[in-house]
Amino acid sequence: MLLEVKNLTIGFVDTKPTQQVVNQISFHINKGEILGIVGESGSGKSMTALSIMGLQKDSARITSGEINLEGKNLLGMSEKERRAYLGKEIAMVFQEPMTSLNPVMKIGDQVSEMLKLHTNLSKQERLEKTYQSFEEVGLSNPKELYDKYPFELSGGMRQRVMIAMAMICKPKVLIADEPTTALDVSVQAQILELLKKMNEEYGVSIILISHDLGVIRTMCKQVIVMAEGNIVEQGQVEDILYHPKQEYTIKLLEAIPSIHRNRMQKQHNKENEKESADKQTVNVQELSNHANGIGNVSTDKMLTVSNLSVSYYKNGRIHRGERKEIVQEASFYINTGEVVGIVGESGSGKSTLAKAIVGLLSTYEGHVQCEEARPQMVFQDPYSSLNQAKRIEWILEEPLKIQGGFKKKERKQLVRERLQEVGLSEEIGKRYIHQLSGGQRQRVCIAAALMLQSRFVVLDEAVSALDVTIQRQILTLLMNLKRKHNLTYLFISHDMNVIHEICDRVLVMHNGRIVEQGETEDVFASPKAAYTKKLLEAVL
Amino acid sequence: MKVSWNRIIGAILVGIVLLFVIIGVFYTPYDPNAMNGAAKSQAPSLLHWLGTDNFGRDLLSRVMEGSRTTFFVAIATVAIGGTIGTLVGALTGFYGGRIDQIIMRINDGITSFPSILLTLVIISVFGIGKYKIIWALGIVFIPSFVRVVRSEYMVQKEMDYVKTAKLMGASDVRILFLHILPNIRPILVSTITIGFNNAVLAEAGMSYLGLGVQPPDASLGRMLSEAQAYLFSAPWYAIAPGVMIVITVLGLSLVNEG
Amino acid sequence: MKYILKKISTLIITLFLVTIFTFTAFQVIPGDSVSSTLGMDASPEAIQALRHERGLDDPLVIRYGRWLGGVLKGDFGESTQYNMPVWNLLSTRLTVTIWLAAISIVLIFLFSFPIGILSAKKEDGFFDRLMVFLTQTFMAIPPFFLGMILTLVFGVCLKWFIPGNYVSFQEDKGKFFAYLIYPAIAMAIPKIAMTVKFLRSSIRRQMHFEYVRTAKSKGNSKRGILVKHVLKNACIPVITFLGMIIADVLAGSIIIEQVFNLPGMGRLLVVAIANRDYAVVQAVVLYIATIVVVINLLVDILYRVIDPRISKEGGAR
Repeated sequence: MLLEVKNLTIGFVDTKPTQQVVNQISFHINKGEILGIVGESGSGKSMTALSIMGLQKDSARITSGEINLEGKNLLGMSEKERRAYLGKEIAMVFQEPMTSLNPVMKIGDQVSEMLKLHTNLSKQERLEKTYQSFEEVGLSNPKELYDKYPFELSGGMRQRVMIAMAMICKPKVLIADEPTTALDVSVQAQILELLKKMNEEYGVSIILISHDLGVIRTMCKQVIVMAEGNIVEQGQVEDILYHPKQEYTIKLLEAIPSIHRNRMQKQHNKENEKESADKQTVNVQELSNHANGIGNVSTDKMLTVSNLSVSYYKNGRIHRGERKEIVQEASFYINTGEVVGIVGESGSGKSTLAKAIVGLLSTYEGHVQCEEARPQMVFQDPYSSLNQAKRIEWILEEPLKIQGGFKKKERKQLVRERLQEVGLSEEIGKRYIHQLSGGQRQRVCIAAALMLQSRFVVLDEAVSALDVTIQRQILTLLMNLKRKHNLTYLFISHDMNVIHEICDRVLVMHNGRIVEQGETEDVFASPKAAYTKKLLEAVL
Repeated sequence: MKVSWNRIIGAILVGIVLLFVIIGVFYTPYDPNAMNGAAKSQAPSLLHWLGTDNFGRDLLSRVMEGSRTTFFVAIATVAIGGTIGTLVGALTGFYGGRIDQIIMRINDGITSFPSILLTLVIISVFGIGKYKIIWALGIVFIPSFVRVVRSEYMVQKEMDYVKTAKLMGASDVRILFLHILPNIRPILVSTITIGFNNAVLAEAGMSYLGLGVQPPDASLGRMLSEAQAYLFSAPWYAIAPGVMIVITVLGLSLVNEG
Repeated sequence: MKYILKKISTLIITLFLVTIFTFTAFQVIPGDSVSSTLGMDASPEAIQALRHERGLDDPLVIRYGRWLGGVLKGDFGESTQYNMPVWNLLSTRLTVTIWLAAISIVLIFLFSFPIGILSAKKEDGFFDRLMVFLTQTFMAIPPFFLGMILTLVFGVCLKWFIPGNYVSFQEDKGKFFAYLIYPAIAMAIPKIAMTVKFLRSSIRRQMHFEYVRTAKSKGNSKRGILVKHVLKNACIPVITFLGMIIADVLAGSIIIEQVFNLPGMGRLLVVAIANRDYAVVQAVVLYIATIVVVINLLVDILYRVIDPRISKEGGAR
């Protein structure tokens, strides 16, 4: 037993009564092990990790428990004693490598600072060792890299630097808090591989915190499931992912979109053929029978896009700079009643394409024909897409006022109906958005989009910012509304799983081009473009 | 707004000043401009709480009157600077483009010069007097409002709620003033407060130099200017208006920043 | 190098615009130096004659050209009030104002950094809270009122100096500085308060960035985090702020000179404005404007030295 957390309880002291965020949890990690901690945001998993390092916010206090590293209780030490362990025995890699690095300090200096703090090496030795550590994490040209600043590197490189920094003193435990969440899909796998390599070559034990069960599955043998500050289940990954005992774990697993689960299941069956598929696979299908069930897909075109290109001039202060193409000659159509997905990584041009379609861009080349006069859009961050200074009823009434022709009474009535339709109670109308939860906010956004009876809605990463269980509810709501009003959706997402689940057809975008399009099942079953294959591989 | 000790102290100070000025509108112990040869340069006493000046005028009455003039100048200044600045800032921030670039260059150029210098140049062009100082300060205050409001509009216009409003068919005027303006209200209120404080200080400075409010009108700066010559013989003459300025500005900035 | 050249060319253009502004601003005013020389009841012929003699009836562009030509040679024209070349008036007064501003700026640097850092070090500690209150209070005091208080306390009560008894630099350097320190303090205190407040909030803002958490996770002490990581980041915005403060101090001397009866540029300017002596006003404005523009250039250059994000991105800021 290398590191042991015993009866750890953490609470926020600035609320009264003290709000417990982590509740009496105990677990341990052995030498050379990779332990996964999984849970939704707010489950206390990050708080647990930070408290091992002593990095929890000032308002959070450890009220009881022990954290023992090789038998020594870190919590019983003075701050100075504990500092000697930080970085040397236990190191940490954070989610966002850009903000986690000092923006005005050379990369090399930041890495070698670790040696300066914990070793007596000479300047020259530190330099050599830093170069070496860059090479160990797969960064070439270490000498050149040493003098660079964080903003000059790509996201993946920055995370490699973070890992080099954490590993340079060869710590016994490495804590990785959502190390791939902020990165592009194609880079994610590389970083996970690097972490695995560190584990295998240097025997470092890794605590891997993630909300992504796919990541946990590929990386860990042991896993802990956390919810609301408690450990709801812990054990072997195999047992927990395929035979969950606790209700919460089952719910969490169900929330993983079907494609993911199917693949997981397939793989699992392959590994363990004797085991028969159990009940779960049945109710999994609930949502995914969209393609031939919900709504009536006709052949009337709702939207026709031909040769659409968008470009802008870089650095366009007064002189025009270099021209940059964001969308290049996109052509596709959407039939009335259809759900078409656009999938691609950030920067692929998918959001720009959507803006051009709904008319938010003034300059583009090509042709867009849309049957709906007022196409609506639902955005990723409901906090930003709702007016914070106004009450919900004002926000929902506003489109009616703009259109005109409604009496006050009619407006109020319509607002009530819409709220009800999206599953919100009437009194929500009196509130401001900061008084709502993320899911409620997104429901309000959907209600606002439907106020003008628009038949075509663009959903731009509309569920990406939500927790998996909420995500599920919103997707269900969207499909119900579609059926009821015969809506047409353009669904933009970076998440292959969600796309697979609700879209009839899918377009894959890469560097501003549509690299592949077709029926969702076909594209997922037999992707043609190399990029699509890469995306699908990255899912698991 | 978070309640803190500083805010409470600030609110009390602002309350005292407001009470003082409001009473002054209806009642002053003496006629602020009435001279009294028998009571020249008297130290504070029961008869004259803050003492009298070299003409025997009651200082309490004059501070009441003087604060009113100073506040009038400050409010008018902020009204001129704030209205024009907010309008220009909102339009340039929202629309951007070449005109925005040019206006911002000019704005940055102006703000990089000390405001006292600019005020002096405008005063030397406009001339001296209460209303002239209002216009001079009003103009000088425009760029600071433009800068704040413009940067706020630049942030807000990128927010998705503005896009949503556009998709619903809202006109630009509606978006500018009905959707975005309420969202920048906290920053605008804060800018107005700071502007008011700066205007009080600027009026005091200019009137002190003899370039603002002219006698026999009392303003806090004017009174300080007159008090300068009697600093040895009658120091209370300077202290009364000076402390009034400090209480006003301190109270408001404590409320504003906590 | 290319960057510096580019900056110097914008500096020249800015100064050129300033000269146009200062010159034309005074041309829109009805009445000119002639009426103040000859008085209200001079005959129209006499006025016309003097106008012609002084070249005031030439077109605006020509007058501007003549004026600018003179300025470039150090000739700012003739003061109508003192009947002597403006430059002669300026040269002696420059010494006073520049020394006053210099002492003030040194005081600002000397005090604001230690106080700001100490205040931010223990967030919301007693010292920090006290400093918040004190900075707000000192920012609320108009510098000239502070000057009056200092006169009252150190001049009248403690008798450390004799108010109004200014000794020039040429006469006695020691007495010159002994007198100048009081107005310098009066100007410095509100600016120290502003700088402390700015620095403190800049440091506090940095403390909440994630790189601070990383630094902590490496085993840095609180002091190490502040000195090695936070301070450099926190100082970047302070540079611009200090540039502004320096310009403000220069302009602030206009008022403070009045309080302490100092024969500096500010007094010259105020008297000139009251007497509509525009040649002097133009010269003083141009002088302060030039210093401000040069300071801005220095701030820009300093920025590039300290912040890699600017220097490596080709100077776009």
